[in-house]
Amino acid sequence: MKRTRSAVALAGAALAVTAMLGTAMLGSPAAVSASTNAKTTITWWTWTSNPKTVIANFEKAYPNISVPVPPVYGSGSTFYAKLTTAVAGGTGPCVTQVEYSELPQYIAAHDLVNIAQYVSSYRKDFPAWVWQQVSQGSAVYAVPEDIGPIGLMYQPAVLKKYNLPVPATWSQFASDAAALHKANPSMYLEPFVLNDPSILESLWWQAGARPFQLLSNGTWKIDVAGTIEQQVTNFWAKLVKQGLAPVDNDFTTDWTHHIAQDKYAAMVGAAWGPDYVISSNLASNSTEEWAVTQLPQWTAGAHATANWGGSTNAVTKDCPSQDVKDAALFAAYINTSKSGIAIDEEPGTQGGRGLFPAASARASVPQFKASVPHFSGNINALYSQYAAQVVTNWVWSPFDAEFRSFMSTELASAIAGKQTWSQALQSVESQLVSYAKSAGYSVES
Amino acid sequence: MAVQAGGRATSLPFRAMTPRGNTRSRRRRLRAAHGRSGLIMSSPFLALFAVFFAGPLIYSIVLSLRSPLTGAYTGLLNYRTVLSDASYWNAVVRMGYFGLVQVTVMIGLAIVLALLLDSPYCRGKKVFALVYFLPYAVPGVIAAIMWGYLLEPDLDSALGVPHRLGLTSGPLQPLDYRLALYAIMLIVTWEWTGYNMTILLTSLTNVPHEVLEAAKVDGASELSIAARIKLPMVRRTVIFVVVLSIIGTLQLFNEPVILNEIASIGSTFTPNQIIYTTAFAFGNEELAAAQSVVLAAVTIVATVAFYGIVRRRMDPFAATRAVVK
Repeated sequence: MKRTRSAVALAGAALAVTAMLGTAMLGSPAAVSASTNAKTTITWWTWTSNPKTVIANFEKAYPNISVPVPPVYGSGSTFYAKLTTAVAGGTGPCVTQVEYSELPQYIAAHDLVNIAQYVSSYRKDFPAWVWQQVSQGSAVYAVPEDIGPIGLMYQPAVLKKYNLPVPATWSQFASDAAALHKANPSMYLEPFVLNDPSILESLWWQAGARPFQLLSNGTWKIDVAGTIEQQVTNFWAKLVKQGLAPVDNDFTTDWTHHIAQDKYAAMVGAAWGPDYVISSNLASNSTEEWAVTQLPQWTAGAHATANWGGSTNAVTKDCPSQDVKDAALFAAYINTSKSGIAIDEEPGTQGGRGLFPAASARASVPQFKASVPHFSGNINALYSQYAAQVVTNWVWSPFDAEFRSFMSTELASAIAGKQTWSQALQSVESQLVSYAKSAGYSVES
Repeated sequence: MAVQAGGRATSLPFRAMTPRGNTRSRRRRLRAAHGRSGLIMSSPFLALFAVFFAGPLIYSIVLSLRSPLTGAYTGLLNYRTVLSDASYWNAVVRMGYFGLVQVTVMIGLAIVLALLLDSPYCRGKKVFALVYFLPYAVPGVIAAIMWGYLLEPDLDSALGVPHRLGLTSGPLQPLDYRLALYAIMLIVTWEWTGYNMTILLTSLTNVPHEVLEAAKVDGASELSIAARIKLPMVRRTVIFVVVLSIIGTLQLFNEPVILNEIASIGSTFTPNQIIYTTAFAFGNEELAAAQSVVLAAVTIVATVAFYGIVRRRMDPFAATRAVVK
């Protein structure tokens, strides 16, 4: 009995050491080691799939840090409502998932801890524009988790059937939309998503717009109705008015239904699009075949794109100060270690997280070459290429949630014909400026 | 025998029993004893009221005077923001319109149903009373989800029938932004008519039988009895349910929020939804507190105004008394 127990203990210790050495050789964050050998518990909130796998992988490398399974708080606005209330009440988690667009709001409310001293060594592991979005000046508030560089998902067979070229520019996109709908009235090239203005924001980003800027004196400059914004918005206004881009609401049952029914020949899609948007909504015996190409450009021959979605892992102020180092370590490990990246890229249905990692080392794991059902080509390689083409210096404001809410309402009114789309933008701008001022921000427009 | 509070029985009026000199102090002491025992007996309610109603109310008012970013006291700045917020007042006006149409239809329907159930023609009164009450027993969120699916043309093929018959150019889309308000009116009416009808039915049972028999003897038809005797006698109850409905309308939240997951209703459709969005999506609890206080004020004004309009009609015997005088 005794011999077996000590043999097991010895084997266990040997295994642990090998594991740690092994992971060290694969590129785990050796620069930051666990703070103490005492048992620590780090709470983590996320809505990504299969967090248990991620935790198991982390606890293997750092057995003294235990991470309880995250509670299920929904995703998106439901999740943020829970997070906001919890942090306001002082019961927030140590590490939480936060999208890039929501970071400024939590930073401005002093809900996040500056972890620059623990994670600045990981800066080189991410594209420059990604790191810029988690930093403010010299402070770093989160570790990037995944990104969503945008491309165009389309059905090559459908375009070929109607002799339509793959749209390389937006003007070609508009003519393709007209020709397709004329040839097949039950099909459209692309929906216009009303309930989620973040995709329109990303298209502004691609065109080079800068609606939000943080000036050196801490003032926010808001310019939602600028020339570029109006140009992009009116492009879509024309498509909607001509009935070529039906209004839809993404991630609703209706929308899933439309995709399954083959209503759309193409959809602007981020890196998570093929799996999350198309493939998971098609029946396994569906005959639809999709591919990915570069997002249509405003000038022929250009290679600009933007980012849509993607999250980070941030440390909140509710993490006990002696645990902040371990919390930052957790956030960094799951997003930069080879094993972490491998789990990230594994599809959700196969036990992974189904993400497109922000880390540049995403190509170094075998899952990178995995294919997505109903899609041809190496999707990840294409999106990696687009990740390098994302327009830099886009800034998210702390009032992105307000912006999106006002946009939805004003665009709905414009679609109903009660105002022009340009007027909608002007209205959003004035509402946003007065809201931001009343909330205590210093604003200029 | 007259029984006084505290269980003491006297056979004669109280005053005559006590010696003259002690009347006032004894009365005062008794009143104080009444007051004390009353306080003790209502203390559980008062405790809960203080913790779950008065406390948060006071905290909300305090919160509404602070700045969202710094927490410093900014006085009435948040209120100024609310008063100049076009989308907030649009939502209030929208609810006013909603109330005018929906409450009228719903209370009208409830009155008709209650009178029908109370009439002698009714068969299976208890069964139908239960059936009409059932929608109220369905939890509000479930009802909204269920109706959301019923009103989505892609999920409910019945909405495509007019299109197939050639009457309309496409399937009916009740959740379209043009019709969404009426769709919500439909859902709310379905949910609450039975509840209001039940209250009215109960008060109809309090109509004195002698009056009804006298009317029948006078040769009044059932319709006349219902419209001219029963209904005026339950005026107070009708006013009561209308006031409840006004308050409920201004607080509409469930249906727009649930339906927003299915169609694009927007997150600023009703004032309560705006408050929720401001507090939890925008993280601006101070402004949300101010918006809540303003909504409460609007509700109080609406209720008082309504009572003012119907004040003279509250007393069913006012007309008779005027004649007798």
